Amino acid sequence: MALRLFKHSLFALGLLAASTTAAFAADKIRWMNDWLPSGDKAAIYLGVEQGFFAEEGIEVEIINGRGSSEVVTRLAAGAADMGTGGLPALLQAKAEQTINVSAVMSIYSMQPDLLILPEGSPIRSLADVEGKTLGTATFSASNVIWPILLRSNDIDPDSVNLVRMDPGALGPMLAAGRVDGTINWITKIPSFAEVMQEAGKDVEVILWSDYGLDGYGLSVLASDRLIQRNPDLVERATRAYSRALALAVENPRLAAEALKAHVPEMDVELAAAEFEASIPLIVNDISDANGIGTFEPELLAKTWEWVARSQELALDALDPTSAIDTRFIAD
Amino acid sequence: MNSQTTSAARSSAAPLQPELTKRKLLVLAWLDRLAPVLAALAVIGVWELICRVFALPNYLLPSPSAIVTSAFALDPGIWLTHTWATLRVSLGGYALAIIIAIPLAVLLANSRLMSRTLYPMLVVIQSTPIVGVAPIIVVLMGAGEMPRIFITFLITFFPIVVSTVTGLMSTPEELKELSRSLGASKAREIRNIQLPFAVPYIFSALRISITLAIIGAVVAEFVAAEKGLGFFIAFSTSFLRIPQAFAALIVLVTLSLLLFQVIALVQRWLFPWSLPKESR
Amino acid sequence: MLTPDATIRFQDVEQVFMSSDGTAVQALANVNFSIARHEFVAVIGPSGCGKSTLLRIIAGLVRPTRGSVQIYGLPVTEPREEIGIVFQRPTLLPWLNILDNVTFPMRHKYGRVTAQETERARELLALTRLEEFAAKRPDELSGGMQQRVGIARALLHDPDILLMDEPFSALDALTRDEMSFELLRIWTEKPKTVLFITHSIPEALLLADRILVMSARPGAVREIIDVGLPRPRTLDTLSEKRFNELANHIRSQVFSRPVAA
Repeated sequence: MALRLFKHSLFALGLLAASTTAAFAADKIRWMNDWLPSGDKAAIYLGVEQGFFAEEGIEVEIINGRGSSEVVTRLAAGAADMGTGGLPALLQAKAEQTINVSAVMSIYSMQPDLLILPEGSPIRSLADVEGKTLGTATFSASNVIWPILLRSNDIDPDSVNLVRMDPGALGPMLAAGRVDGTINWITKIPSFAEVMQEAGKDVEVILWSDYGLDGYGLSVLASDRLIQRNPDLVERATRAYSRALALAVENPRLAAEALKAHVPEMDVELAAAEFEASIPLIVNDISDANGIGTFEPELLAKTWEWVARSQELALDALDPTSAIDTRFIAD
Repeated sequence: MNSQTTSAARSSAAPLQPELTKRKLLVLAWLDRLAPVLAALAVIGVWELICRVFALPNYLLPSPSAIVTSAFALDPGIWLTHTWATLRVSLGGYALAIIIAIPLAVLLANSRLMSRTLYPMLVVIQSTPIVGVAPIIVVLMGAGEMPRIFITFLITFFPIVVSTVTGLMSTPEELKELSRSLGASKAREIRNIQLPFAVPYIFSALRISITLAIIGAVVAEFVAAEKGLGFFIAFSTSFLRIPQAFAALIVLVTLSLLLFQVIALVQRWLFPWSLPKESR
Repeated sequence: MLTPDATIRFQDVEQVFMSSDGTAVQALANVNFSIARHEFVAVIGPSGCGKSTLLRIIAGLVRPTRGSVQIYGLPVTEPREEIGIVFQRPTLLPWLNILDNVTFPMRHKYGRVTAQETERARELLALTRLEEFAAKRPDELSGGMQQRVGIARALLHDPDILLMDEPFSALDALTRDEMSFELLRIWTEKPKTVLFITHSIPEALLLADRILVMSARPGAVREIIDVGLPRPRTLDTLSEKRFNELANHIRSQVFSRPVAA
């Protein structure tokens, strides 16, 4: 009897202790970026530096991933709590296996893929790539969309000589004229321009979104475990990130400076230019119509359609709305 | 190599100039000592010259001056942070490898059953390209330094095991018999006879492994890291800052050479008898 | 010959080894002999006649398959205190100086060396004429000197029995002769029961009181020869008539065919 009483009081004491620590200590989240630090990843750093997360009672640890699929895997494995990654990578993963990760907010409502070409390139439109040599990063997600994009524009993918290489080699190869163009993200324009400048050239681009590639790109992802255990935390984190993103769009330089505070070897000018290059993906006709961060069902369906076609998956292999959780976006 | 050049130089010079003064000999001796440095300087000079004459852009081959400039353009604190991070991971993985490899080698060398069952497994681990499994290790072990230390350990420990086993096996059979004839325990035999006999082998492995430890840390930092020279190289190339990446490479090579020398010094200091007679 | 008070006694000893391919190899068959106290016995025979096995059985490192070996009337079941072994190779420890190499057995067995043992080691170094090398490392000594250290090491705990497994076979011919006389001198100063394995007939004749001639496959005692050459033995011993007669006799025994005299 006495023992039982003792146990009860101990339990009560424990509860008390737990509730007080919860009230005073900040929630911790491990936030995983989808790539090495660069200007376009600046929003999360701005949120931390501006104290947006602290105001929500959140302490953030930022981890660097190596690609969207790694973010998805790490979130599913519980090695990170939230992060940013391409929605197509999440849809693909969920269509193929059980992955307890959801997209809670969209960042890019347009796809960032493009071709970077030297100024005055004979490639004036997508159709001109026939017979040309293009460089691409070995593990780029763009590689799977590329043949589908070509086919949907009546171009034979086999007519293009696609050379795969380390992402770090793409710029030098383009500058040296070893390739006629490279497959990249829009955010890479500033650093490519820098290298091309050294070769006395400027860059031109062909956006894939101009040739029918549409859908959501970079999104905020969260592990389902965290969503279930602490939905409030996900909501607060999403809110803090939205504020940071909005401020970054308004003031890319401030965002770049916040990034430099965390990653001292960063070049502020370049980082600001990179973020600026990504703004059209965030603020555009789509976001004007639906609001930043939302997932509009028709565009979501299109995103999935591109993934299904590029991965040769059945269209009914996944209901794309099951991959998103829209509770956390403020209306 | 060096001593050969000198003796060649001396023997060819001596008969021609019998009055060769002490001063000249001194100059020759200095030249001999400086030869490696002079050779390195010559290579750097030629490298700089090629870059300038052919106006090679930095993204193809940065000139030594461009590398140095980019290195000094960064705050020394940044270099220190990354170097320290890589050093910590390297030494952590290296220490773990030593702690595990040497007892494991003792086990393998003294038990036929263990060597028959464990050796194949070790060979499988060694044959696995660590670069390929590194991302899996990172997912399994989560964020932080542990997965990097573990990857470094995986790359480092096999040479230590193999070399230590070879060393332990090189213990003369007679000494093992002597030990048994004295009625000494196996533990004493291992500690007093086998392990000291393995010291030269262990150290030759330790010298190879310290450079592997640096490579291991860099591989791990390529895969997952927020700091470290491996991260810094990946980061620099992602911005196409090739001179900066080269500068980091030079820091890595320097670190490797330094640690290699440190291990050699530790051997000379603690186990001078384990070195060949002429290099003591 | 089989005296009850013999130091070492072999009775119907048989040794069978399993070779790596699973077949049984008979190393020793029906070995009977005994060695008296402070007797110097040499064992000679072709390679593979089980000479080393004989030595290892006495040392308690190998248990015989059949038969028994007794030391002072007690069967050998494990290594015993009163035995010192000198191996074919000196096998010194390169990380210890000469003095520490001599005291190594004590350090190894008990973890420490007493002042008395160190004193004794110095005496042994004096006996083996190595005093001034006490502080040197093994690799600073010649092969013959290293082997003398090996002998000093074996004598440290003052064993009654000294087992020597071809101790001079790795040395050059001149050093070998020198070492033989050296050993005789030491043995005269500190009498021991010695079992000395060798390939060299003159060496056996010069050193031993008796010689065990063995035959191979399976190893067995073919003949036991009483040398009977007067002691002290000197260089002159080598030119004695009996020395040459015995040498020829043993040669014929070892090769199992007569050799022109």
